[in-house]
Amino acid sequence: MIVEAFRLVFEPSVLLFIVLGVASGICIGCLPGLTTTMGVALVLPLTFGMDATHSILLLIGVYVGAVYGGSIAAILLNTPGTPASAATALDGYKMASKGEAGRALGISTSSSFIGGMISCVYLILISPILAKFALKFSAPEFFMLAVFGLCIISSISGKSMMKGLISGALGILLATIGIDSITGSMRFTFNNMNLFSGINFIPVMIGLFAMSQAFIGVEEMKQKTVVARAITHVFPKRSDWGMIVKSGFVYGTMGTLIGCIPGVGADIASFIAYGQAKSFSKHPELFGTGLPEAIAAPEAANNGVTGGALIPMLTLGVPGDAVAAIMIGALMVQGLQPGPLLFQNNGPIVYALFIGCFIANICMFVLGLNSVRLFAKVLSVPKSILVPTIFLLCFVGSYALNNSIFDVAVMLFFGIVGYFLQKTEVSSSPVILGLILGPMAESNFRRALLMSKGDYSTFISTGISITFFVLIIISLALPLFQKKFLKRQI
Amino acid sequence: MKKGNLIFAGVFSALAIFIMYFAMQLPKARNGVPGPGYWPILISVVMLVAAITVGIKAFTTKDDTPLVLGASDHIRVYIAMGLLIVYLLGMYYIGFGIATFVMLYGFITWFGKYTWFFRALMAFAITAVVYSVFVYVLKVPFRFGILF
Repeated sequence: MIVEAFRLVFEPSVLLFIVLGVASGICIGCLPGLTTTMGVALVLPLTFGMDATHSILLLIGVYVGAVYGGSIAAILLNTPGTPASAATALDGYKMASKGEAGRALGISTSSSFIGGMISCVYLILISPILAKFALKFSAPEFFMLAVFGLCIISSISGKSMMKGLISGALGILLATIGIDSITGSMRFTFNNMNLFSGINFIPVMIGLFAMSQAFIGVEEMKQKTVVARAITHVFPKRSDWGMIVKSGFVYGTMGTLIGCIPGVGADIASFIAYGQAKSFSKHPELFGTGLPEAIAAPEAANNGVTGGALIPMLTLGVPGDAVAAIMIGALMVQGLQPGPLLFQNNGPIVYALFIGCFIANICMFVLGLNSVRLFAKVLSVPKSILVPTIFLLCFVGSYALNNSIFDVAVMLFFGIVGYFLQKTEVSSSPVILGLILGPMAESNFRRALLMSKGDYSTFISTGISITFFVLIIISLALPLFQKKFLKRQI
Repeated sequence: MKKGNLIFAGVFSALAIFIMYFAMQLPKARNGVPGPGYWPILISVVMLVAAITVGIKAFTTKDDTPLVLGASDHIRVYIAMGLLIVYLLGMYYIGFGIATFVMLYGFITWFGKYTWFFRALMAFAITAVVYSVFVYVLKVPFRFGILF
């Protein structure tokens, strides 16, 4: 199986796709306003014609590259390229202002690399064990798992838990459109043939994450971008390596563990890491003035999330964050169903993905140290050309899925909805996760009741389901503590 | 944000009630096993309760950050939304190539300050690259519209 996985990954075309993915990811991450999720959503349609290995490794390349790429804009412009690098901007820009932009970029690249590699190790160690454990799950456990995923995502991903719940519920309700899989009844189709097979979540995703972000780009069209400053001595000095390696291990591990929790993305991980680094530092008062360890910690943590988010996605079919949700879509387009059976039925692809993660991180490190000046030039791409191109890619990408103009209309509709959701401070991630987890929750809910002849106590009849029940309660109570905790950390 | 939250709560309360109404028309439960309408009703109830909570919270809290949706920056977004709807129709009825060129030329003209030649060149180049990648490399057929 492992030999087959190596054979799959070391095909020249696959390696080329990983390099292309990382390079385009860094470019996307660099550009303020283009998020990691948007980048992966825009690249997804290009993968429809590819096989599973090429497709998923290209997306992983984009993911790893974009999370790192955000730090380039954060350091050079004081504007995080992605929300995940907001914590990096606090000290990164200060270092760049002192004429140490190259050093700051070198520290960010190296810490991201170590954090990413650590997360890959955890991914390989934890995933098979968790997948084996998940084989014990039956309908009630899967239902409780889906509810847990939805609750934690709704409660963590936005400013308000209630808005998160509404957003998640919207996603679940969208998933109910179409023919009911158990009784064959039509639900909310209103005799429209396009709705008989339900709403595909890929156009919804492109609309919510890419199109709505492009509308934000239109809104901010008049804002001027400061041109990047000179970058020299990117390769870290010998004296910096000790701190980079230490931070990489500690905060990479922290990022991976945070990434495993559904809904907690790289942005939260990087702020928690920043806060922890500050509290463990001998000079906490110097944080915010341009400290190297204040760059290393959040960067190691946000790249640590990349591997962590894949753990629940691959083993349980529950996405760790919005990017992992898009990857679930990519796997499903290839006819692969994420979850414990993926390891049994498609072992070589899973192991190829593990190896590909390592290679993507190595590519990111090499490209980051050697070509950062080139990537910094991406910052000067004018929005007046970039935004219309994103519009076009959203249209073509959503059409390419089923060659259906209806999907394009769905994408545009959700692009508009996503824009207004952002304006009212509602996170779009729960909508997508509701769309993915909704069918899993509903089918297992009804199957469990069918098996237990309508006895609702089946949902708390085993140790696993009771554990999930407790976790659901904790996840709903979590927002009460979250704000206080994050405030204290920063 | 008070006004925004009230509108948000109103829209989603109405949506939840609308879904509940239609879900109630679906077949009922049999032998204790929920019918196809049970799950949407359950989720709509969650949505309704959450929307009412957002509404009540909006009423009882101070309006600290007002929701601005009518500034010139926002109007630019609404015009862009409208133009994209026109582009969708244009793409469907006229054809991908021409509609896309016009859309790109229009937006680049609106957003930037370039010479007409540069705008036309950029619009043509982007259209040609995207068309070539999707049609020739990814084999996505763009078969719609009366023209190209």
